[in-house]
Amino acid sequence: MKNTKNTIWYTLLIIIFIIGLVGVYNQFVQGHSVTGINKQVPWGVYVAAFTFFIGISTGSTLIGFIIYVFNLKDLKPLEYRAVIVGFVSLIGAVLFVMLDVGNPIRMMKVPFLMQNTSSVFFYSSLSYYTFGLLLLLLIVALAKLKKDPKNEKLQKRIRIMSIIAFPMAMVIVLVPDGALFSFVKAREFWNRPLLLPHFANAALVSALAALVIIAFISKKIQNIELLNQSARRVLRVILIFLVAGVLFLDLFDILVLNYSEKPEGIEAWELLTTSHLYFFILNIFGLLIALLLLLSKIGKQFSMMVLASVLIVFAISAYRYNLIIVGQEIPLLEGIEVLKYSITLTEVVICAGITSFIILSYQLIVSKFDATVDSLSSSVEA
Amino acid sequence: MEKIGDINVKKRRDFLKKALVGAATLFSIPALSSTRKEEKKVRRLAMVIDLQKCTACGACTIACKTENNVQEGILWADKICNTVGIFPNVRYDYIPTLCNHCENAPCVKVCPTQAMFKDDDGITMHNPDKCVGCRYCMVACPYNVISFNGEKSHKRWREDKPLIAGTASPKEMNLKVGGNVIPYYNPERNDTLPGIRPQNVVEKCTFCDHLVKRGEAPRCVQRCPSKARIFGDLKDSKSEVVSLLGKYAPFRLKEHLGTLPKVFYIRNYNPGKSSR
Repeated sequence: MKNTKNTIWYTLLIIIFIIGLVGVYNQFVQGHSVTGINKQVPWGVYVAAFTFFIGISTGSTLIGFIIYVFNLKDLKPLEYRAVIVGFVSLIGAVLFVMLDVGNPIRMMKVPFLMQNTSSVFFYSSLSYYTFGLLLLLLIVALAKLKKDPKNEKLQKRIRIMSIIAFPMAMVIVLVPDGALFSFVKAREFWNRPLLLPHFANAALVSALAALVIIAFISKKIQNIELLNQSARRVLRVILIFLVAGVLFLDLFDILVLNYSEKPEGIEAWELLTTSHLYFFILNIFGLLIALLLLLSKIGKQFSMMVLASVLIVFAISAYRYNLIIVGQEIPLLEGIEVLKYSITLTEVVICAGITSFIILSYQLIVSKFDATVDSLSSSVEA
Repeated sequence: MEKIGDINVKKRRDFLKKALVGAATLFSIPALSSTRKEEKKVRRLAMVIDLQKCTACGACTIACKTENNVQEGILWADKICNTVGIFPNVRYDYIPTLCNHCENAPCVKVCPTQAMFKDDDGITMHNPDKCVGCRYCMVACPYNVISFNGEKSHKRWREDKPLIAGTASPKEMNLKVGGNVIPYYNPERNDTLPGIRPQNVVEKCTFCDHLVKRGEAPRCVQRCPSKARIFGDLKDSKSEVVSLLGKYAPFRLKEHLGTLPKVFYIRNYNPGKSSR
């Protein structure tokens, strides 16, 4: 039974990944004309997906670090996986950028060329490389520690790496993920001080929701129990606070857009409530329903918690999409030709393909390094 | 007869003198070169567009396209059109746009590889060899004047199929004129920028820097039938640009952003209205 479920799961992921590869080939041959970008909206769904996965990456690393430092025993099985999720999400996010830019090979050289230090992009690419390398080292060290838990030297090394990774994750989520947009004066929808805390909060909540979904999939498909009752209780409370925080910032955003009476704010509100209404509803109501679910009595059930997490993941991705697209669709000058962005089939299959690749990579790394999963899960059960 | 000690003292003095002269010469070289640099005239090239003279004919757009081999779907010289009011009290506004070559250019600031840069004349230039195609410059530009070359350039002229059956295909037409990528290809553009820009990089107006460097005005200025575009040096008090800026109340697009554009607009497309 376990094998059948596993086979179906992997087959599905591989099929989606292959379809994604076809999309990549199509874009490679035909150029960016197969995407929905245009002169006014030069950044499309790839950039939205990039910010989403960077958020998951940094948020997940922060969660892993918190579990490690505060020695949260109930959440220990998640610690190692959180770092892996952080790593594979970062790889996925970088893949999205690679597909989005015209010259990916040249893009890889950006941090090594040490050119324009006044560009946020320069710092972001530099930090992704360093952060990715650090996470890889951390995964290897944690894998070694699982085999030899009493190795003090290794423990010390992990502590040092975690101490470096924690502020780095914070810097990445705030600087490249937030400042990349909020520093752009030309786009008033992005140029807001609330954007940075919103990014950080959304990153944490989406990462936590992703970890809950991973725990659910591990249980249902691979029969590995990652979260015991006590851990679920703790996660539920944290999720409630984080979702409430994001929702509060979302509602404040709406207030600011309408109350300021700036032309750009009014224009953004109009776009959000007309051509981008579906994503706007998914963002606000997704979070609201998730919060109500978590607060209710049925929210104590793990399946309901997973449902809330799925809603959260979709809500945050809708928020990222709306932020990127609406921010650019607002006409820069009155009387200019208005160009809209619409997502294409190629972009959809590529996004699905990269997401499958992220999940497959996660599974691969877990199976490769985590040889003690079964024994660990049995200890959790005990 | 001189004593050996005296000779030694003299030698030491000579050595010190020579050393001092040498050091003075060495130090004076950079000083001299910096003076020479100061002597070199630094220009701040700018454009004034007289909206009252402009007839919205679009000759600037066409001239720019042919001069710079700009491909389909991309305009370096663009426009803003706006119809204001309700009939019969209605007004049509028209503002020609192009890269503003901002003094404080956001595209230059955000470009991670310094592909966007300012040249000695203050023209915002782009180096396609350094461009990674991230399009951050397009996002940061408040004037929507940077375009992305997302597909193979001049796609239409590479097609095998004729537009009308029985006639020559664009590709055949190309071969007839020597196999250039486009029949109207201008090789002069290649002097300072690839004649046809490579795929997956951005491109924008360069104030026709290849002409400016030869002492000519940009092609849009030369071809404007109503002489609505005036080009010159802001640092030259005798230039027409400076005198026009003094004569009229100029405005620039989105001045509140502090980008200090170097494309100025004077008067109004609708005579009798204020300059803005």
